[in-house]
Amino acid sequence: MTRPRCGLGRAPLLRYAAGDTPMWTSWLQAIIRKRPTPERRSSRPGPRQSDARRFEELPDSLTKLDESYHALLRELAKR
Amino acid sequence: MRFVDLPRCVSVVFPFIHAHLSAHEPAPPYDEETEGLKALDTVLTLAREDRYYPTFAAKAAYLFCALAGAQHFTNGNKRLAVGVLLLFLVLNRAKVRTLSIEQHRDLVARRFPDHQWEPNPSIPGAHALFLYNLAIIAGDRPRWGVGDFPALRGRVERLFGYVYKVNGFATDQAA
Repeated sequence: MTRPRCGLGRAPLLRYAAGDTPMWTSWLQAIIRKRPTPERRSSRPGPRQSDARRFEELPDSLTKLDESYHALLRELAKR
Repeated sequence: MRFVDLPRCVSVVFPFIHAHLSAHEPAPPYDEETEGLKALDTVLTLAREDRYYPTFAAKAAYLFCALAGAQHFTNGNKRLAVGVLLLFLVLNRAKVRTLSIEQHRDLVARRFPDHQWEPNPSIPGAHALFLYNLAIIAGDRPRWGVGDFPALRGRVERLFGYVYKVNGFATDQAA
């Protein structure tokens, strides 16, 4: 990123203190321009994708639960 | 939020438990124990009260601990607690956090340091093994390691809040 010119020969902080903020505005515009495009954004793992890795869905009925839950009930019966 | 009620227990949970008995294990006679059924109905009704149990995790923890820990029936209380909890999860399309057995063990150890984790090799799934150990804790007061029922329920609530997610939000970020 090219550092914006503050111009007029005044130090940036002095201009900022005086309420004349073109330099900061330019920096903000530069940051906004660097936001990812929709294409770049879609190629990144978004919250939904990472969420799918962190959580698993249960089936929609008790009868469809896998063998580990059947074993759980059988083992609890022994106690 | 969808709730487990007594008719659903009779039609879904009891048959689920009876279908998975160990060899020569008599079926818990839930239907024949009138007082137990009354107590079960009371627990299921209280779980709906948002004043006492405002979140999904709080309701799930109350259901689980009240059924496993109170011994309303002469047999099969821990299994009933697990069955009701699983139905509550299924009815609300809850998701289960993907954790290893070791991670589950560490979560339980943090909340119940007095409990010796039981790595039952007959239970292959990490989440099922997690519930197995929690049922053992809740069903045996000396293992609670806490003074009273609200403290037990509170610790289980923290665990459930981390492990289960409903409506797109985990109810807690740290167990």
